[in-house]
Amino acid sequence: MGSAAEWHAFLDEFRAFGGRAENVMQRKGAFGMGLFPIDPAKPVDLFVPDNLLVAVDNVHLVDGSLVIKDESDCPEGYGDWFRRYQSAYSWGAEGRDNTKAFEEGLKALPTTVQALMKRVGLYNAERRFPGADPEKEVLQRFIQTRCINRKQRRVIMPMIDLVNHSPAAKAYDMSGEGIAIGGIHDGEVLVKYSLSDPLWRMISYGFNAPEPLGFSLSFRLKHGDRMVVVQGGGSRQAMKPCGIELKEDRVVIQQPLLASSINPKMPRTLLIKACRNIEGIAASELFEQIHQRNTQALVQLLKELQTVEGDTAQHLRTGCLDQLAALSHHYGQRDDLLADDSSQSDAA
Amino acid sequence: MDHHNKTMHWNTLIDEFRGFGGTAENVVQREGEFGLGLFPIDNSQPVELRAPDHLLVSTDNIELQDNEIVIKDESQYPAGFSDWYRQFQANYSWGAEAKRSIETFEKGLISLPANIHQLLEKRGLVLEGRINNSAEAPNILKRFIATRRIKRNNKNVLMPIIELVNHSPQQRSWSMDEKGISITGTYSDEILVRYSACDPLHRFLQYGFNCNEINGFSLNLKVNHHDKVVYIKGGINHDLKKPPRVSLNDNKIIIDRPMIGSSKRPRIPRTLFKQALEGVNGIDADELFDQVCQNNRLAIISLIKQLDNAEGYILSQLQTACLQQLVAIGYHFGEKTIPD
Repeated sequence: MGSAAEWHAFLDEFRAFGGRAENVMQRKGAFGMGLFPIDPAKPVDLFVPDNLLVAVDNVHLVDGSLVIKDESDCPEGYGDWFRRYQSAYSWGAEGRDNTKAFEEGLKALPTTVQALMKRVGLYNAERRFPGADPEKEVLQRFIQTRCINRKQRRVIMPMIDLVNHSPAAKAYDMSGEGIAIGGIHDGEVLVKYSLSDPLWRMISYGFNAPEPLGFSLSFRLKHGDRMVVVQGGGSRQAMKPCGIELKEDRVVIQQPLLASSINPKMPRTLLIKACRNIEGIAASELFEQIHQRNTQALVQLLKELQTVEGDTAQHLRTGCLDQLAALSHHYGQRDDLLADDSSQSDAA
Repeated sequence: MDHHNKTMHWNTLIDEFRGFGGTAENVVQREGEFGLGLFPIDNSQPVELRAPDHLLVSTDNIELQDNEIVIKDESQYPAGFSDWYRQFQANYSWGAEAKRSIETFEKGLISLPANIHQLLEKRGLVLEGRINNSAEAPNILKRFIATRRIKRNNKNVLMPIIELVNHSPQQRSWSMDEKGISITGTYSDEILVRYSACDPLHRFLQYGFNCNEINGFSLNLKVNHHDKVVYIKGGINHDLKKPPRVSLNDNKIIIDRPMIGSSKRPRIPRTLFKQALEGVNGIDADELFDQVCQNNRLAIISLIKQLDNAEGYILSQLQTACLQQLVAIGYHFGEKTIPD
């Protein structure tokens, strides 16, 4: 990381390309390096126009530096600025080392822990970090934690990718001709990266956060005389009924929402709605069975982790406990929403 | 004591027990997975253990003399029984392992950090008096009695020989009939019996060992439900087939020891809970059941988190009990349709 003068010179260059970065500075905070308002009484203004977003398949490593492959669509000089930016403030500052340490930590977990995580679809070392080309694999993981979908492309957001995550913060403003973060920030400038739950956040990003939602792990269970396959993970449309389909004699449920501290009556309601047209399913009971299996799997993982030392094991333990807490937030159901549904189907 | 002498002593003890009217066939005491326990001598043959009523020892009729458990008033027992009982306790029960293991557990419990004590008391898991007690012999004896006693004809009693049998939630309980208390059957390995209905956390704190109990009961809680305050009295409801008792007091509702998980009958907890609240105005029983489960989970997770950075045998054991409790209370799905 450079000096304050270098930071400001850097921002001036960014502005010259059409970006905005007002009232912000980078420094160490509670979540590692992050952006802070210079004057907390004044609004922060961060904006990356669409033409400065870099497609994830248009970057690669050259002598350890993260650079743009094809600069032809970028403003003149932007490729060089991007390389220096990555080197001084992002990939080279902390991003590479943190990503590498986390991936190595996961891979070093005992085989029993890894086997459990693989079984419930949380982590598969062979796929995620096989180790054939470690530097390239670390870069892919780094990109995964920094990219965003924008106009059918997955892109990196220079400057904005320095902002840390908080589930309580607002999401990125993507309503204009680019991606923006604004407003008054008391302390660190934070943004909500995406909808997730504590365990998926931890596995995907390497940090613990008290997410307000809880999604399922992956497993199969027997429900009455039906085999149900639950596909785990977060869903972008958490407050809509999850996907459900019949595949031969199996019922496949995709990323069901199991808990929400803000809307605790919604998870059961959404699953009941999703199951409406599937015969042989008692949706409320299935909802509880999915919960029970999640609890069992998480506790098993925690038991395996009880004697494992190291930062990654501790993060994973915290992630599991936070996940159990997040999954607790469901009670009752929204009869009004379910009644709407049944009156519509009655009318039809 | 070598193996030959051990066997001789054990056989003598059993012969004398039979002489007083007790039954102990095809059993021997040895070290197993759960510490000292009883095993079949020949596991292809049935085991028979019986403590007749006249050999049961009332818990208020024992005391410590020179650190040994003795019967205070011998008058109602066969001649020589009190001496036999002293030897039995000294060599096979209190003196063999129980005193030492209870002492270790109680000392561990007393040494827990103050914040853990507060949480355990708040949730009704450990009474204040127990933590403030010392781990001196009289208090250890109280705990010994608490882990061995059984109610028989309105009296708390200890069961000679039978008290050596360890616990398993998967097994049947003791049989009680007009002849006394007995355990019979064929056992491929250790003879085990279900002491009582319990859950992992209460079992651990009452008995000092971890066990995957098949039921889960609530902790002490206060739940805000719509415009009402609902108090949940935590603990074990031994009558597993009956709905928990509900009492109403102004705007306050008290629910007494609801069962919230059962791995063998996962539809029962919600069913009983809803039955208990039938006719109580302003309560959505389904929603309240979920809230009680939610609050239990959060309380246990909070306890685990507070234990996470602490070290020591009892802390890790308590953490295991908490994890097992989370599993036990997680076993509730659906409900049983009760015929009108």
